Amino acid sequence: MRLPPGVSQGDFDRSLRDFAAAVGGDWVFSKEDDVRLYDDSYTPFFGEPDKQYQASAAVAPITVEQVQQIVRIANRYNIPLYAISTGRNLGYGGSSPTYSGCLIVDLKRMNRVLEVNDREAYMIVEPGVSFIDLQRYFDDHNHAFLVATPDPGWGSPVGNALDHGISPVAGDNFGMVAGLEVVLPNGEVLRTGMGGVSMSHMWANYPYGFGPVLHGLFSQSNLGIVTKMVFWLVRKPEMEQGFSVTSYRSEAWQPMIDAAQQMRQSGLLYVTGIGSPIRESMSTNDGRQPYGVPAVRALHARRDGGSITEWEQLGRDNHIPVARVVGTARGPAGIVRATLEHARDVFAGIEDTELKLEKPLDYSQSNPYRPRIEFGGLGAQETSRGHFYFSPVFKPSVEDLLDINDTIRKVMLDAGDADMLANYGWSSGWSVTYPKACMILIELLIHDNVELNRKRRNLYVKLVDACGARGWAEYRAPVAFQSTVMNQYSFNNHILLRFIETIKDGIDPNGILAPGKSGIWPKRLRKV
Amino acid sequence: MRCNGLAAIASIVALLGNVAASAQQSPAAPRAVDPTFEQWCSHCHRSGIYMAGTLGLLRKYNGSKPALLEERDDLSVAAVKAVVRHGSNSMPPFRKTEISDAQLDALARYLAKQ
Repeated sequence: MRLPPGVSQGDFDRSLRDFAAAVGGDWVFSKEDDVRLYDDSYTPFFGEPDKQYQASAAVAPITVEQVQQIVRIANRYNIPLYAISTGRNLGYGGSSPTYSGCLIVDLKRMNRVLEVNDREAYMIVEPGVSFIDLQRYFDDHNHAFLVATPDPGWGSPVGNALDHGISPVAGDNFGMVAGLEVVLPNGEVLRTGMGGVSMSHMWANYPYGFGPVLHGLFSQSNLGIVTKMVFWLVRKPEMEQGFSVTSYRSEAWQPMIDAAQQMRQSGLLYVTGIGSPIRESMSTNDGRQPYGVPAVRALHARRDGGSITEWEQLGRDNHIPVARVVGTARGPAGIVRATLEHARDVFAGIEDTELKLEKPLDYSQSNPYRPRIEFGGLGAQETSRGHFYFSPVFKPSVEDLLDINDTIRKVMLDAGDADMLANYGWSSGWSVTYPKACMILIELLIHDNVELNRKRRNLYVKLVDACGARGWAEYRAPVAFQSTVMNQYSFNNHILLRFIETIKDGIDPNGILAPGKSGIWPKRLRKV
Repeated sequence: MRCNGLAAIASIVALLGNVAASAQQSPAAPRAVDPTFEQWCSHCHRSGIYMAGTLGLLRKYNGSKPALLEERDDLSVAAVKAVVRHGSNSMPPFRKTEISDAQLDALARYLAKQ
């Protein structure tokens, strides 16, 4: 059995007895086989167990009062806790703690949908509810709302939103949060926004309440354990239809992006994306060549990465456009059709562009966002041990797209990583969360080869540092790299982190909640 | 997902057609689907292009065994339990708060056709 650092066997045993008294003996897990189930199943340290973050034990409460008791017991014995909702944040740590020896507070049993309000389009849920559970609940009770699911569907809307997860349904899942109920490190229960008014019926209706807006403090942080979340919901639309606009002329690219972004900023489009099909065709067939375009791979492997003229010529030679934007309209069929007609008019005003409509999705026939378990296509890939993601945020502009891709490509080139260069030497950007920001999602596969995994971890850190030096930082990070990512937020001698640490020390003096989460360490464990 | 994943999926969608066809030709299952399978396994181990488990088993066995778990007749209770509690390749293990020991017993017997 792994002990929490600094805790004696006697104290740990006594704490386990106290936890069992609080939640019942069946819901305290301390046998090795049971505790290992909380390891990160997609650990980037595969094959190196001594480097993996591992829990000491786990406890599974079913009520808020039990969570309060757990926190109070943990303070008594200085046991570090790490709360998980459904523990399926795969690729970012899953159910693994950020500090070995933490006792996992597994909230999966807190799985009630407490309220779904059809008229006002909101719901209140507990953290153990999964996207799949929620879809089933909506189906069973005829609620015509979309489930803002990522992949895999076993994940938790609460946990996903707290980690700033994204979905094509709502975009910014945390942006849909109107209120939280939180157990604080001293065991007290806090409700944010209008939930702060005793017996208020307004909790779901207005997120700010009065005074500082607090709910952001509990996302990607370790300042409390969230036990309820109020979400605003997205109504099921009648239909959805996407379009793509391409050009063989680079000069058309920025006007194309501006046009799509203006439609997005006006609320006409949902997900938008920007890319360069010819630059991305080093490994995809783009419907034309089975193994990608060899000349494209060669140009990416060249130090200067090729000129605008060379890429345009390569595009023409291979009949693959040099510029692309995509967008999606959603809503009543008449409005979607009118939006797409408007898009046709807008892009007709930009020379040398071609607009193609995608197949419309009729929501009365099917729901494209039903929660599923795809694992980002892992089942179909050579890899066998999962993946993790490098995911920086940048501007939706040609300049930023070219610059960030060039930065990433050169890091891969310098690392001599031909596989990564072939697959991710150039990526398109997706504006899922906000109209003003794009994300690149680079998947690093985990293999049985320990040396290759080490090489990929080093590559990840180099990517974070190289992009950070240019002003691009990540929106989210696997547990192993959260301090590395937080380190990029360095303005004014890391005042952002120092400010959060000041709050942490004030409300969690024993440092029991999730040490190291998002690089936030309690005073007793902080490296000076 | 992109690149390798997309290419691989494209190349095995045709094979999935065969999976679906063989499923249709099989006699109807004589007993009810295990509720744990329905809740936890079906989203990954039924027929369809997004089914990571089915795709993985299709890759692994390349037609020598059915890619659909419910069509297998060579699964043992012990093997099912081991995979659920330890995971397999990119499939993660399942905790006892998700699938209890009693539910796992029933699931394993269902897939082992006992």
